[in-house]
Amino acid sequence: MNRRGWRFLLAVVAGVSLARAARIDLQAYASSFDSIPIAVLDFRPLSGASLTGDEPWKVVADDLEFSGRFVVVRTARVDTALFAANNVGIFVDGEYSVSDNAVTLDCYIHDVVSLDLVVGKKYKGEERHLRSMAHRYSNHLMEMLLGEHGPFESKIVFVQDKGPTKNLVIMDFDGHNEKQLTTSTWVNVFPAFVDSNTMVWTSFYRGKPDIYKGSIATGKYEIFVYSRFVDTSPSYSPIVGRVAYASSRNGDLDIYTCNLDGSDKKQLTHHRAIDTSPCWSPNGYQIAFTSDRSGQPQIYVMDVDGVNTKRLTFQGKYQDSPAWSPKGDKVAYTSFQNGKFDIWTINPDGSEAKQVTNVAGNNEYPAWSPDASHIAFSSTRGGKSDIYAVRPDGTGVKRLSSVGNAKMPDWSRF
Amino acid sequence: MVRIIRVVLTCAVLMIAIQAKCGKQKSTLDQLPQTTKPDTSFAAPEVFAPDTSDDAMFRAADLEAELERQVRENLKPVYFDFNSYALTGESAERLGVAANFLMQHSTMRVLIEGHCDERGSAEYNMGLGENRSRAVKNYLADYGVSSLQMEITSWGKERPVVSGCTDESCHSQNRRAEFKVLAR
Repeated sequence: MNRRGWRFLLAVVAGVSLARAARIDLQAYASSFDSIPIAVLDFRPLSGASLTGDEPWKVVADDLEFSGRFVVVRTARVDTALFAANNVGIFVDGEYSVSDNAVTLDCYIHDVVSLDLVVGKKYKGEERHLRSMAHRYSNHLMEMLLGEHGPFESKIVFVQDKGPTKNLVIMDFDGHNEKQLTTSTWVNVFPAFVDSNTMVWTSFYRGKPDIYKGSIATGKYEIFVYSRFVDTSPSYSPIVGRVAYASSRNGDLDIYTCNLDGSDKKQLTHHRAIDTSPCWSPNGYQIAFTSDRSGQPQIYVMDVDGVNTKRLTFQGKYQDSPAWSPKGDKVAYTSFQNGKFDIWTINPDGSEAKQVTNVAGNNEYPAWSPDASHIAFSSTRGGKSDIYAVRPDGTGVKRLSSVGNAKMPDWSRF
Repeated sequence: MVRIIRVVLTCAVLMIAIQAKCGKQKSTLDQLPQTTKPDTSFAAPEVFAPDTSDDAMFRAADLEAELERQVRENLKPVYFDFNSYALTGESAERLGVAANFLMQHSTMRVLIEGHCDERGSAEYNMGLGENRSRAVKNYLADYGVSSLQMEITSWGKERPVVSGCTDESCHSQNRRAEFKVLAR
């Protein structure tokens, strides 16, 4: 059931780079703006081709807009007056053709002034992967213009809560291609990516919480951390290659780490308090976690050997769900203040606590995008619980899911 | 003389009568193979014989129901204050009943499940639920219940009795520790 369609063989047939004299320097162009003006034109069909799915140029324009780094001008064809009015120096256009159930996309960047081709790229794949092909091109645009990885091929997993039944659902970062990962009749919560194909989470299959891991490609999953007690809230560090989790095997919940097969368990905290919600720093040196050792749940950090514990949060009486930015400079968390939960960020040294969300409803379970440009979270602002994304400065809020009972998102790495 | 004659006559009459009766009986036996309802008088008691196997089934079911009733009666859920795992006076009373019941049923093993209301974060509530179930276990162990009879776990806020609560009287039904019988 879980063979992932998105793991398709997308053939980047050629990264054609047609050099011309006095070609515009894309990175120099990009660096001369805070928000980079770029036009995205409708692609042209070759030999009467037609597409049944989403138009790839709209996907590209949506991606660039989502990043918050561009001023995107959408137009059907070259419109020099429109370009001039918006300070646009480059535009993206392209062609598509369909043969034998495969779509070929030719994507170009053109210089607005000279109308010269700056760089072209070609993609070929099944039509059902059209959005993924467009996302791949968006990532290439980010690389060419900004020298950065884009988040446009990343995935978000979340919990669909149907009361006694809670299952894992995965979707593209923009909320498309929603697919159910588990179809159980019991409770599955706290999903976390190991890599783009592997998930760890807490499942109540045995009537008590244990930690499972599953492969999205094969749909197979297995239990790997279990005891007579509570084992929950896994988080994986790709650099360390270990899982951090909370377990009550030696009394109340403490933080442990172990290998992905459950071996070599190490207890990091020994406090007579609830220690839970571990998350790794991106370099794998530290772990942020929640503890109520002060009497109320607050966010702490410690080294991976369990020493140098330091309390980060002091404002508010109830904080949980720390999520360390992939760039390392911020820890996002949930804070209960003024009668509701909101997303906050704080520096790993405890300075600069900042509120990110500030609207009606509870805003919980932050998860960073792989480029640290966005924080996904679940919010009840619409009455029901759905997954939203917001930039760390609180702007650019976008609703991603629409199932109405989505919570606990985790965002994949690149 | 007259008396002797009377006795002889009486004997003769009796002998004739016996003779006649024997003769009649013999003829009935001869006809036996042809008769269609030979033993109706003996068949009757079997109809009223008690069906012992049915009775035994009724008694076993009664036992089951009675034990379930006793479990419901004696192992009642206990409730907690917001964000707390301290046992209230009412809880202690209930747990005293539970302890006596578990000590009387020393082969019984129970799972104590800690639950939270829907407020608060899911991760922290897993810990809070666990603390609640352990508080119950410790109380029962102090009372004298063997810790071998008790398992504990937490559901956090993942399995409320009532969901979508907006007021305290509703939330308070979800902050509980429940007993599940694992073995009798």
